[in-house]
Amino acid sequence: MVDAFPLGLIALGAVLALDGTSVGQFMISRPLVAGVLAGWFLGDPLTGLWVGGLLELFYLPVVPAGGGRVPEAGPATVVAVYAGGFGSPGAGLALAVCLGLTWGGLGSLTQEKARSFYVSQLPNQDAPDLVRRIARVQWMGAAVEFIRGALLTAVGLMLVHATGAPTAAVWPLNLVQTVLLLVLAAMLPLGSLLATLGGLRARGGWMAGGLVAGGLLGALL
Amino acid sequence: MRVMPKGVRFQVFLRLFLVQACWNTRSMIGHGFAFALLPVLRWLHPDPVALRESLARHVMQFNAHPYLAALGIGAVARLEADGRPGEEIAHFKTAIRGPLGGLGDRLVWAGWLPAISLAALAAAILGASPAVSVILFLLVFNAGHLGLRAWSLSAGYDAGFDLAGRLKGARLDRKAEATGRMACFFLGLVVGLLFMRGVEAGLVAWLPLGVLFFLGGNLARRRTWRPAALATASLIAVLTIAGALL
Repeated sequence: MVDAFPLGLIALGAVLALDGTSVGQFMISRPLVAGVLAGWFLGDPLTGLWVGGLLELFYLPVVPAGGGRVPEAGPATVVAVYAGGFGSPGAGLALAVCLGLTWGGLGSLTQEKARSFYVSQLPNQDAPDLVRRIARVQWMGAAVEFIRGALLTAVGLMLVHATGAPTAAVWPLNLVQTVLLLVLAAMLPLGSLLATLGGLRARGGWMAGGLVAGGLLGALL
Repeated sequence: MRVMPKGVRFQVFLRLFLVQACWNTRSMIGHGFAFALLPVLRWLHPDPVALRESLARHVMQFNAHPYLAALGIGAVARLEADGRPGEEIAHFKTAIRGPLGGLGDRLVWAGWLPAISLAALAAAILGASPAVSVILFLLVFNAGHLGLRAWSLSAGYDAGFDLAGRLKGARLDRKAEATGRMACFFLGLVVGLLFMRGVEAGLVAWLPLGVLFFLGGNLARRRTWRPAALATASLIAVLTIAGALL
């Protein structure tokens, strides 16, 4: 899976950065989707699904309400899926989730810098040629996001390419232990998601219904 | 009422997908709002001077949920078409931004999106292929997403100044309640499936810790992403270093 350095992944990361906030928001930048897309690029959609699925558990409570700074999942997931191909399955997953979370935080920092740049480019009401400049600043924003996403993804992929193999080689846990660790850690943000959705008191009944259904389906299937 | 030509409506609809292209802390989606409205203003004001004057009115701060911004854009398009004074339109925009933000956040970010994400995750845990999980998510989520944008633009233009009444009639707050409940159900479903997979793998002893973390996350409310991400990444780093040393 990691014989080559697919440049197509950089383009994918750039497109996902666009989808996250600037253009479309069709949610192809969600970790589950981004993970599978990156996995397809690398010829291993199942690893993409595993990595994307695990990251999705962490990113679910992230709500971009009011335009506040939020971690950026799209390019981070691309980097994570690439990392997922290194070492044993357990090592790959651990490396992937670690990168998926840290690169998401880095993504939001770069996004903040880009937004500060946009402020300096905004035309005010008295600006000459206002009609053309309004359109231009929108397209400029999309272009900057594309480039930012591409650079963020490229740097992440280069970092993984250089350090992925030796890092994955020393991971001490097997696949089951690794998945257990990651799913336990994901319970924190999932609990936080329940709070966002209304809390235990208001929504406990609905959650309980789902738990029972999940238990039954899990036992049967 | 002046009927917006289909071509103009289509251009506005397409521009809605770029309304956040240069989101920033000063005008937020203000410039995106003006950009999306531009085809309407061009239709109403063929004279370049009048066009520029009408556009300048909209170079101001504005924010709303990106999908529901169409309601505001449609309503303002109607006010412009009706020839309402600029000051009235500005006051109207200030009044609607809060509801369009809060309602959209509850309906989509804290309702529809987590519900469909969790449903797709549940399908994946139950053995659905990557293609099925992704297609399920994208088709279902975007059916709601695109339907909401298209309805918002039309409803906003039809309602104009009576946007509040139109929103009340559409009962979006009830729909937000319903999507929130749906999301909670699917959250329980995913957690239940994960726990069952843990039982099958012989990891019953760890389940209480999972419950503890879940309840801890619920108590901590919305402040857990950063600590959870930091703790997880740090733990992985520590274990990797331990693995290298041992």
